[in-house]
Amino acid sequence: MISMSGRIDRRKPGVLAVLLLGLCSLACGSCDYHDAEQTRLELWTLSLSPTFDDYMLRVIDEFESAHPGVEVVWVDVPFDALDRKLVTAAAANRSPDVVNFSDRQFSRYAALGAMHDLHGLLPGDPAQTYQTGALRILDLDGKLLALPWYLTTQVRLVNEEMLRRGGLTPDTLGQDWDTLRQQARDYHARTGGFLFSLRLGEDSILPTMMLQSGLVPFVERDGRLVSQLASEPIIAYVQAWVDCFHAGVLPRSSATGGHQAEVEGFQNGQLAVIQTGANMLNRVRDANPVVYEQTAVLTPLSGKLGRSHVAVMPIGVMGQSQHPELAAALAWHLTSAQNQTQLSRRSSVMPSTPASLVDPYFRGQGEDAADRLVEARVLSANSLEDAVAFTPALSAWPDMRLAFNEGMTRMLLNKADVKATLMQVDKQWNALLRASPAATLDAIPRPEPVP
Amino acid sequence: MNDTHTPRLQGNRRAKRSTLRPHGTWTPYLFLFPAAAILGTFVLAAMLQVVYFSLTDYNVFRGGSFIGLENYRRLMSDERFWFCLGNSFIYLLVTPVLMALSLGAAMVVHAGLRGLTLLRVLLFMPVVTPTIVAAIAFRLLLDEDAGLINSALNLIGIADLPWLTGHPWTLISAMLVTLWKGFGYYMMIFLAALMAVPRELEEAAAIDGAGRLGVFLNVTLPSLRPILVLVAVISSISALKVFDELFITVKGVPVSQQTVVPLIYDTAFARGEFGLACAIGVVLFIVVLLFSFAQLRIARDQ
Amino acid sequence: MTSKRPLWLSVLFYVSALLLAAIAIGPALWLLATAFAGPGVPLSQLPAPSDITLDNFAGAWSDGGLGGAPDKQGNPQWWTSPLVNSILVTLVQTFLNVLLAALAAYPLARMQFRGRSLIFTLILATIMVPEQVIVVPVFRTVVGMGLYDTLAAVVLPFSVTAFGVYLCRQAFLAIPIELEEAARIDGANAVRIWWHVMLPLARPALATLAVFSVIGAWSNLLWPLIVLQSRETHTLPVAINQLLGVFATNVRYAYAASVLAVLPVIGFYILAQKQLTRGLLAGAVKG
Repeated sequence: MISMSGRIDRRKPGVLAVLLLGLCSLACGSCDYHDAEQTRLELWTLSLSPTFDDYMLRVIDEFESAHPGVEVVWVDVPFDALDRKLVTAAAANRSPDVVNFSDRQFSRYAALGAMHDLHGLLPGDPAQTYQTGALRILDLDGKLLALPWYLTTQVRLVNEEMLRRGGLTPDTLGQDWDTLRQQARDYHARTGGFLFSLRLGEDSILPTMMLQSGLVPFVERDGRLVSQLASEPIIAYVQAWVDCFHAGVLPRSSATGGHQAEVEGFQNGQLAVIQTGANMLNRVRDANPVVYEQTAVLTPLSGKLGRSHVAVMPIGVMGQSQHPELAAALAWHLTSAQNQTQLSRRSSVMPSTPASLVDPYFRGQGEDAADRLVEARVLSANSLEDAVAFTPALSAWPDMRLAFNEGMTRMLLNKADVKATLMQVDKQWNALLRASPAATLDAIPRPEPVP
Repeated sequence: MNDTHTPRLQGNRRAKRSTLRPHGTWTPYLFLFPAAAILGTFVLAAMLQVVYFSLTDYNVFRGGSFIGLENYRRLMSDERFWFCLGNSFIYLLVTPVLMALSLGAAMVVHAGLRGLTLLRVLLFMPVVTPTIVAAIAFRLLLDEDAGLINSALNLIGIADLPWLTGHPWTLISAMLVTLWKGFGYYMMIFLAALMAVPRELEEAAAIDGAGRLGVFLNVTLPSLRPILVLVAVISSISALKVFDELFITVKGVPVSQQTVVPLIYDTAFARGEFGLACAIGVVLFIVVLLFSFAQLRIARDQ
Repeated sequence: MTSKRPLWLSVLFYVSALLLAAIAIGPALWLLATAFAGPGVPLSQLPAPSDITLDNFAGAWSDGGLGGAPDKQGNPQWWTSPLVNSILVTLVQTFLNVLLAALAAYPLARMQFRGRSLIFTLILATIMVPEQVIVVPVFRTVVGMGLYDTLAAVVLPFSVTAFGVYLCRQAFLAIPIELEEAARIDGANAVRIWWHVMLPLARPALATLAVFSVIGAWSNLLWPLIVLQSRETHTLPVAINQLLGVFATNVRYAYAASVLAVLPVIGFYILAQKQLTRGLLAGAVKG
């Protein structure tokens, strides 16, 4: 064996060189070769690529030509990877400058103090530009921490064929959550199938549903907001849904699955009704043309107030940004009425800029009114008038939601007692509220019922 | 090297050794430097930092300051944490099953039947399969609505089981992946141990009239004891450290329904709470350490 | 003993052998079949020959990013492919694992110097520290070195392991001292002895270590997931995880990518099978 070492010896320099070269290339794996003269702005969006590549590149191009010397680096991040990527990037001091969030993600980063206050950085008046309801939830503790980009309103997609099997039609189907819950029981008893699913546990929409029903889990005491989650009407409300789940009327994924599970259930013909963005209709068409043919589009479900929920996609400037003013200008540019009209035309999202809505596109003019996609769009645009962003403007809200979700998960999966669990969550909510800046009932969306 | 040197050397080994000069004073340290620097920086110093950070409210976005034992106090009253820790202990149930399966496999391979070299190679394949691939394969088989396993269960009259959504089935699903990926490895360790059992002992026992079962229980198993202890400890420590299996197999299940390492990961890298994550890490470290000491104790007692 | 085995026991052994083999390769084969199935095939069924398609592989390659991250014109750059990144990481990590462990093991096995037992104890102590516990400070250190989002960050913290040092030390201890002395009489210095005497004779142990390193580096998920950001640096497991994401286009791409991830390592295993078996049967046990 020793004699073999001679052979190795002769090959040694070559082998070593190759491996050292590999090592160097590892270290330079992501070396940046950017022009030092340029100011670099990094923009992160959520799941827009590849569908909106053309649009984004054009809008970015416009911004770059209006701001010579600025280079915008656009990164599109998948929804479920945003938290990990943003936290690690921030910990590595490599935070992007401008980030597009979902509303829930946004309030968490806002609460962590990760966002830049935009007051005084913007080239125009936000109050004149954006829908008041959308702007309101981005104004936390007196700071404007993001601008509203596009809105996603919801519509109901119903599978008429499946409804028929349960003896229902789009006209007899309930308009609000409570009626639908009753119908789901009958439907399950008749067909053994599921009428609909809703997110009760993970990413629970129950807090939104409560507010939509006029159930406010807060009171104001001595000018401070206090949780009142364990009040009788709320316990009864939650109990009704938990019972419904345990009776097997809702699919298991309503405890653990996110929105994706609902869309999949619908497109596979396992759910008769889902509440979702109108854009999901495209997806159903591509995934299952048979179900698409059986689909009707209806106005969104709501609670007793008759007002549907609108989700805002905020876009904000990170506190770590070296160029906050330019970053704010980029966010402003992306959310301008003109650009939002263009974006909405390419998708089925709605603009947060009222000026966009005069565009004939949102009235369905000159198009086939029977086309489900057109129908869904017009329905969404119309529902914007009465819709409200049912998201409390509280910096503690993300943590409160988390505590709530965990409580729900315990009730659903571990059969924990509803009243006792809500009392625990109520305690956690109060602790969280005490630890954050004082808020009043003004922070809670409490609109009047639709006349 | 030249072989002709060897005889001359053997003749006067002692004398030659004493006349050799020692290596330079710095030589051993230079050899050790790269490894020591890396292990020192990335393990030993890191462990000290973990302990320090666990005493701060260090958050990625806000920075942090010293808060004493506050994180630990918070954990003590955090149901999420206790539930995850409990799940980690439930996950330890994988160890006895893993040991029984791998010992059984080792005995089948050790039986030396025709064509069983191939078997040994096949049984080791899951070990080299990346965990993410194993987890995806099981996710596919365990799919609640369309998976093979639930379909098979339906055939024998069992309703769909919530493998990927319902606690504790989610843990069992991940344990299946651990089991599948691990048994080939421990089988090889047992095989080595079985090959080392003196055949004369077994034969002597057989001549003395012990049945096959008697030989196994009275001769084979006792001589495997040190290895059984070793495998028990190694596999329980890796069960406590499980991450990949859960992360992929039951993707989408809330972290609060999983075990301790996913909780560390989520706390640190999805919520940015570095201080709290380190406190959970310290607790995990202590648990792992207790297992290691238990091993040393048992090994010494033998 | 074989001749004395009763028939029922032989039957039992053969049946168990078949069962074990089915368990060991069944799930992987099922995954393989599904990776070739078209979109209409239910997950609980094998694809009929007419349903077999390479679409999932093509999709994983172009849409799923296995072909490399796109440049500004949208063309994939092959050198940023997760496959290339994974191969690079695996090669370099394995090389460093063997090199650094063998370097450190030599003085620990063969030299007398101050602090030897302390250093050895400290190195062994690192076995006790699970990587999952120290992930936060390791992340910070890597960031401090400016390595965030580089492949070097994936490799560096795992470029040497206490297990490797221990394995090499054991192998060096088993080498007859006479060979080393002969070399020294010939005037060889420590590096030459290490290279010409110790390494060739410890080759089985080094090879075992290398095989373990290849398998570990190839399948590492948690750490690259934390430390890699851009698509250009993703390794295969990270890229596959991305394909499994909630909003991923097609989960079958993930199945196809899994097949691509498992084939090289199975091929490698079959080549290195004898070596690995020998190492394991000789008692190389990695925790």
